[in-house]
Amino acid sequence: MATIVSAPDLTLTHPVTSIDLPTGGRLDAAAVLALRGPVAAAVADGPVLVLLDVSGVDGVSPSGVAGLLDLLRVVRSRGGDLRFFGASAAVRHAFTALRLDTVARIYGGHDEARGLLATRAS
Amino acid sequence: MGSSRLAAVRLLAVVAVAFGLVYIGWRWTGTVAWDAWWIAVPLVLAETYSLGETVLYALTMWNARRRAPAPPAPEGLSVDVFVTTYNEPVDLVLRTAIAARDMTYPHATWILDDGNRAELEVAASRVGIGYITRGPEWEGRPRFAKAGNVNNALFRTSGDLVAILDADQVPEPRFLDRVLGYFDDEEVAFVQTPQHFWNVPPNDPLGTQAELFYGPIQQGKDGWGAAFFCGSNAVLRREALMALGLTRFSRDARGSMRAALRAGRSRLQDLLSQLAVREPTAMPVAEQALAAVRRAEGQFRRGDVLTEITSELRAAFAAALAPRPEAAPLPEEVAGELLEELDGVLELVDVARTDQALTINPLDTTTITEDMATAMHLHAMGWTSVYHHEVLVHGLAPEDVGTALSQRLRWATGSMQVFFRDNPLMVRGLTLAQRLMYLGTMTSYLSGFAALVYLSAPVLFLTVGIFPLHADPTLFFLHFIPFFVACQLLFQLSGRGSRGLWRGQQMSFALFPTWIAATLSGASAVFLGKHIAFSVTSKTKQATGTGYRHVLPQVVATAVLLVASAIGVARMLAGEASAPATYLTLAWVVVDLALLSAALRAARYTGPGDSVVDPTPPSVALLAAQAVSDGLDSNDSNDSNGAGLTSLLDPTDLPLDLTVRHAPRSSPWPPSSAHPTSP
Repeated sequence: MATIVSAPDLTLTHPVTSIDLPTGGRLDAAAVLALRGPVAAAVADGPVLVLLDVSGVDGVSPSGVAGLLDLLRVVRSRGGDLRFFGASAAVRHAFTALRLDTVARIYGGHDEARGLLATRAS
Repeated sequence: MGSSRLAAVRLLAVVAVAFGLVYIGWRWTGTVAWDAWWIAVPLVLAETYSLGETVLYALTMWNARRRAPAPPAPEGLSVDVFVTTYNEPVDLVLRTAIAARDMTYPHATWILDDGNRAELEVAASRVGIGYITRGPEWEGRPRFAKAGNVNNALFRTSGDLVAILDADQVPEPRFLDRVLGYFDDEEVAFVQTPQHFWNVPPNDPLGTQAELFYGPIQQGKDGWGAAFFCGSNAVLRREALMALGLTRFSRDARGSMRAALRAGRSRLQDLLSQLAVREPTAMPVAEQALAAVRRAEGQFRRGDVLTEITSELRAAFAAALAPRPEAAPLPEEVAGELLEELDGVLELVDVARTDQALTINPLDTTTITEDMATAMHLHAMGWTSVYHHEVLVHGLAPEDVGTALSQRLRWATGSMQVFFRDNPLMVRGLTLAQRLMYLGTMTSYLSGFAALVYLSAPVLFLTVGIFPLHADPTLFFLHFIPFFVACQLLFQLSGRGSRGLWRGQQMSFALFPTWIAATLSGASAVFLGKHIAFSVTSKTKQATGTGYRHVLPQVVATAVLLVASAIGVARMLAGEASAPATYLTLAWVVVDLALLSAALRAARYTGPGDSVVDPTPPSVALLAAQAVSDGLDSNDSNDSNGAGLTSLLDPTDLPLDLTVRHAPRSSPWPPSSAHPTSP
């Protein structure tokens, strides 16, 4: 099993935007609420690939995860995609505990999330 | 309940159940009139059911106790207070919202307006209350009534705790201070307080003051760790609700996608066969799309990540639709139709639920009584609940029988929906006691069928002489009376301090048409897929709500009982029926009539009149009225503008997000976490 997993490629057709989590290291209700505005603004004009760096997160709450999934819906309903990347034990643990690891993937880094690496392992 | 009273109640409970078992055992083993089985068996079944309800009631009372006072509310908790409304009068909603705003513990107040009324929005901004409505993502999607309203607002707020108040439930200023202390315990998911109605006269003709439920019964359930959430006058922990929504989401995600992929494949196959006839040049597009769906199904079987499966499917569809250099372009309407079809499939399949307005539904949206289902699943996850027995909120009860019946019908139907779809005996994670507590409330609605039997059996004997049981009258009394007396004693003792015990018993029997309708409705919704509309209970008296026509079945039953009694007496006097049996049956008829009379009295009720006083402080009422008239004024002057929103805000402030129209003034925590449109 390969250790690098690259995302399906959308970059040829969609612009790419990076969004930053608010500082503080917590992925909770307040954090995802603060993200709504920037994410909505990013997809206002059409399909966009939105990348979210979660490597700085050291605390996750269910509201944080639920909010992220709802933001995923917001972005996808415009034809784009929202992807998270970064090595955060807290986020990984939360996804596993909530059985979301087969639902959404946390990519290793920015490039994998963009789908730039050619090898796609299954 | 004090410990000596509890001991007495427990003793009586054991005695009543014991007598009941003896009685039912005796009935089944020798008194069933098998020759008249078609009435004898339903009767003994109805009696067995009543014994079952007695057992469940006894169990509920077993642990009924008053909790120790809550610890004082800790500082620093962030609380969002939601006042939910759909079509209630604006003035009424504002009074509740202003009273909520004025609660002493720091919090943010929001009006959740499902009716999207501009005058309410303006009025709310005048008094510094936030206003949330459904945004454009809800258009064309199922709205899920109040559950959807609250879920929508949950994703636009961030307080640790959420208080929910119906539009007519006016809280006292100390409401939050009295209940927040319970959340010190990490396992508490919600705290429920009583519903108390100020517009109900002492004799309560409609049986709406539920002092037995918001008293010994909830305390009893609380004792077993199963206190219900009742939709209003409660505070809930956000993380508990979100965890519940996420659990449901991840559990259903794979199943939904499998079904959606299969449905998508059929749709595309249908499309392909249509195109073969109408537009063969478009077939390659559909074939490519179909192949993509098959690939997606293969990825699904191999356990690939669901978001990636959808991404690839989307990319494959885009590639299929891309114009080919070597072929002629497709005619526009065909291309448009193909695009629509493929978009439709993608929406269905996407794990992020792009076919819905929200990905995660914290409050249960599968039934019209969302509160009970949500509470049950929270309990199943291991969360605990608290019933705080102190009236802290004052609300409005229906003032006419039509409204009262439709409200009861909604609660009953929703409960039966949960009973049939999500039976407490089957839900994993509940303790046995919790299962029985939920079952107790749900099965109480089956009493409608028992009431039918209790009404028809005496009529049958009095008119045609068929007695549904073979027993010596003395022996019957010997078995029945102890059971009956013990039950009444248990009821009176456990319910002491609650008014309306007799009224409650009357309503439980007299509303049998409502309970039967609810059971059938709930069953058809679950087993036949019939949709049940959520009817909001009107908070203003309906002129057409009074009158016997609302209780026609009960009127007919009363008439039939009276006529049958006359016939029965005549038969007895003519020597065709035995006197003791007739007297026994007539006594039964008297009890039935006494119970039914509650429905007839309810039908005549025209409102409390002057006997009740509105407890809303005059200052609040005045402020509400002022804000309403401001709202109406600005609404009139902005009629040409559609929504008066743009003229009130500087155009550069217009939020991209049309859901939160404005945040509450002076939120206790920093703007970046409360106001979603701040940078």
